[in-house]
Amino acid sequence: MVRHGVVGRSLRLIAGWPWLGICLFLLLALVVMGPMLNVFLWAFTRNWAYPSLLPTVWSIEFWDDTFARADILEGFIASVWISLIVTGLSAVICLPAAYAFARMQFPGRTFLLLSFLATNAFPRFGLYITIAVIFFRLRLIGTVPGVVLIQLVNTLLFMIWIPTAAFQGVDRALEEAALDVGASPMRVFVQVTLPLVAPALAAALLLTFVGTFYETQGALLVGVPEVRTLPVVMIRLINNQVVVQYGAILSVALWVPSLLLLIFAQRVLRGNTIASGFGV
Amino acid sequence: MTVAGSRGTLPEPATYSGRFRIPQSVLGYALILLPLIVMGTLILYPAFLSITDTLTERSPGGSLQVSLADYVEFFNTPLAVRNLAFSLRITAVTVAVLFLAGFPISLYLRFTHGRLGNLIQMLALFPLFVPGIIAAYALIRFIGDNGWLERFLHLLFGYEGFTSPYLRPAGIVVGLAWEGISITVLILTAGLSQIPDSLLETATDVGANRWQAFWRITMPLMKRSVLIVLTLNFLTVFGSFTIPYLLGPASPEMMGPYMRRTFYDANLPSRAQVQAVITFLISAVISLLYVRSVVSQKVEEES
Amino acid sequence: MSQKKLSLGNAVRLAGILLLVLMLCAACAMPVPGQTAAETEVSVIDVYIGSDTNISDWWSNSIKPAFDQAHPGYELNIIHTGSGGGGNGPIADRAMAALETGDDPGSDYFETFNPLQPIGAMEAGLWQEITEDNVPNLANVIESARRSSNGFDVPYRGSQVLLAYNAERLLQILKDRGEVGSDATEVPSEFVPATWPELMEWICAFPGEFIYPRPDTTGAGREFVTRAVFQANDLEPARFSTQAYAEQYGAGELTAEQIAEINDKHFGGAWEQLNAIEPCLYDNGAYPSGSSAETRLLVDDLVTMITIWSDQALQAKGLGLLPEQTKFIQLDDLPMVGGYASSTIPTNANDLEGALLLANYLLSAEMQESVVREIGGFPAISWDLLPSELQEDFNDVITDTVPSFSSSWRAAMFDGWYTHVAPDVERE
Repeated sequence: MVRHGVVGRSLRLIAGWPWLGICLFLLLALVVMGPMLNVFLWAFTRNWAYPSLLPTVWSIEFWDDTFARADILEGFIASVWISLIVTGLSAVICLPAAYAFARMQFPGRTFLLLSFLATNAFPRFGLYITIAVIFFRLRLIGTVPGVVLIQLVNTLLFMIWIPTAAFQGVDRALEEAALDVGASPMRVFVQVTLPLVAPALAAALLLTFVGTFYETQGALLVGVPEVRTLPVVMIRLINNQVVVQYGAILSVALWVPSLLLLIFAQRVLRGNTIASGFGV
Repeated sequence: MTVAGSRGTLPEPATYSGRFRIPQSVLGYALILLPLIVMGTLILYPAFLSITDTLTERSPGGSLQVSLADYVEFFNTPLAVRNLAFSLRITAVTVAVLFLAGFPISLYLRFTHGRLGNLIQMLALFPLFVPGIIAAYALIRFIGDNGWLERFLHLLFGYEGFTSPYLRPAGIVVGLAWEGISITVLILTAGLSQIPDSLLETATDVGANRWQAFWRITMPLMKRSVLIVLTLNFLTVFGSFTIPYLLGPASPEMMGPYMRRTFYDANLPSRAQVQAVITFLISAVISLLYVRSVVSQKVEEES
Repeated sequence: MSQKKLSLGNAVRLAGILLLVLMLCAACAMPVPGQTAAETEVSVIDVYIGSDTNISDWWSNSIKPAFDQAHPGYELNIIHTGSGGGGNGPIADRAMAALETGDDPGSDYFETFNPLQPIGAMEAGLWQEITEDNVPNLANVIESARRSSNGFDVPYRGSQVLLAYNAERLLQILKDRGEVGSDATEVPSEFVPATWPELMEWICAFPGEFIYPRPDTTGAGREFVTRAVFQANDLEPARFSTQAYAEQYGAGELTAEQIAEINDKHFGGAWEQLNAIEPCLYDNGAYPSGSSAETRLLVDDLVTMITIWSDQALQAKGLGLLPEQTKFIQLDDLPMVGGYASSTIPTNANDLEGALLLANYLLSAEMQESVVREIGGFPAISWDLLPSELQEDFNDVITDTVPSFSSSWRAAMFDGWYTHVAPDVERE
């Protein structure tokens, strides 16, 4: 990630061992890309008999069926809607708070900002169970509000910490200068501050949206049977669909957002920003 | 380009504030109230309620009294104890595997540059952007019986002794390690990047060999990142669901699938609550260590 | 940083290729918009399908052309509401509301719907009572299908859990063992189980060749376990009705003691049988999670016999996804659990007469044969009324009994299986 040109003399050895890097690369390529490539091939397979390394009969016939499936279409629509609602709600709740954390001084500020670590400090599924027990009593199981609320939990930390760092990074001198020439604070915010933090805000929103889109555990626990998001449909396809191609095709289709996010993240965020979301 | 990525430094207090009529502290509290309420009602309240629920019992007279009956029952159920022990064992193994795999990669990434390093970095980060559900599906096809891996071993090396980890405890470890490698590498590389090259060069200049430099300088400076990575991985793995549900054996189960099954299939929400609280209590020490390491690091940066 | 650019470039290229491939595929896979030819002079019957796509495909491709041709003056309009989400629920709500206001309900026929819904529908007279007077073919409907109906719906297709086995693999095992001559071409019938006790024997006679999935993950596992429960209860499914459960255990969350009691009293014998065969199962009891993983074991030539839903089995076989020599059997002594899909007709349908005509048509021998051949379902009428060659093809799975097991009992059964059967496996 961050590799400054100067490398300690003693450690130059590592760089001088090209085979070490090549071994690491091959191993990672096998472990990381192997399963992905395998699924990719499955999406274009009709039959794949053991022990052939490649599909024995290729076919794209299942693509048609996959996207014509009512459950996949409904799951996709449900996921898009719920993710939009969660992201929007999270933004409304968290972004003003991020601004406050970055710009205002009040007692307990640091403590309160750090308190959001609590979202990471519980074993996730245990936490979801305790939430589900309450939702059960409130009859929120199997409802969209129930799914939205449980998925909101996951978004807090990223939606507060990343924008907080962004607001804090804005050079105050620019704002002061604008204020000095008579611009209203609102105008300064919209015309000076916002454009400067926009990339980081967009990244936080995108991470939240995609993270929510793929969120499985909470949706499975609180949503079924009435609310089925795409990952929940996917679980059903993986578990109980005799035609394995449906799952493979859906996986391949779902890579696209993943890869776009990867590219975006590489571009806008430095890797460390994501790490900072986990507390480093 | 903003400095959004500037490593987790805490916001500095505002230097100007005169334009707001409302006292800044009041406004600040007002703005952060909503997320605090969300956190309170969706994290702290459910956790607190579960703890009090499972610790109390309504006596025949109708009054509430403290009772450990639910916990006694849990620890008297052989299956429950077995599942808990199993979860802890899998978690320990996975955390160790992640560290042992992640640390060399991070070291390599820290001290090398160029095309190869870049490719390795991308590969290591890739799983972060693959949803767990797809990872599980892909791994079933890949490591399952007669899967791609077995075919490769069979055709390329004539190796016949392959035993698929799928539906075995090892399957869970493989799956969770696959998912967790990105965060592990991310955090460790971030930690390593904080060690200035100059420090290492100084050390070698005064005659330390590379192992001494590693043990005396790199490791002590990495202590906090290592602690964060170990504790965060513990919490993630211990609280996982999708991978153990799809890749693990029918029995023993990890706490995630076990709780879901108790909640849904057996329709015993109150029993699931006890299981959830037990996972909280068991990981309380780890959570504390995690929060403490992060907080101490932040506070240090702040000052 | 040059490295950043490099990796970015790689990612862009990779995504580009992927996108291109996907777009190509999407272009090939683009569904053709359905024609909505609403000719004058014909009465359109709006049929709402709340099932999976294979059912709506079957309606569009087989039933509609046949019905339209057989009944000039009528035309079916197939609307797929899907099995997920609300399915036909909202359409039924609309029909109910229309009944009160006298408006157009916009629906004539519900492919699958429970006449007890929406709440109050029965009292309000929303659903048409089905009798032999308005649907003459009802006379042919078999007893087990009728039992699932309350008289206001038409059971017309069934499905059941079956055993599927790879005859080629079984024959090879028998040849290797010298049980049959090396020139044998068929598995002798004594090596194919026909009853539950024979199946239990078969499983241990061919160790590692049989597997069933975890009962809570799919019906294929659940109904196998349920069948063991029936076996331990004198083959009397009636003991496991909703009513029997409610009388003994009421409603709501069971206590740990109650679960233990149910297991002792009703399921103990089943756990004994399942534990006895466990060492003989594939990989010493590698219970897969779901029928997909289970079916892969058959497809990848790792096991000889599995449990499977009839419709999934025949669909997969039709697509050529199962081994060529895959055969299906149902147990003779008592088949595994299954169920029927029942259609309902709102009394305020635009064309009540046409809808009843459709119901009657679905119960004709011709359409019932289509149920078997095209969607791998079970007929609702007696097999004797179907062509004899069809009977021969499906001889091993033919049954007139489809036992049921109330879902009320499932919670205790799942818990019992995980407590008493699964933990005995050591898979390190």
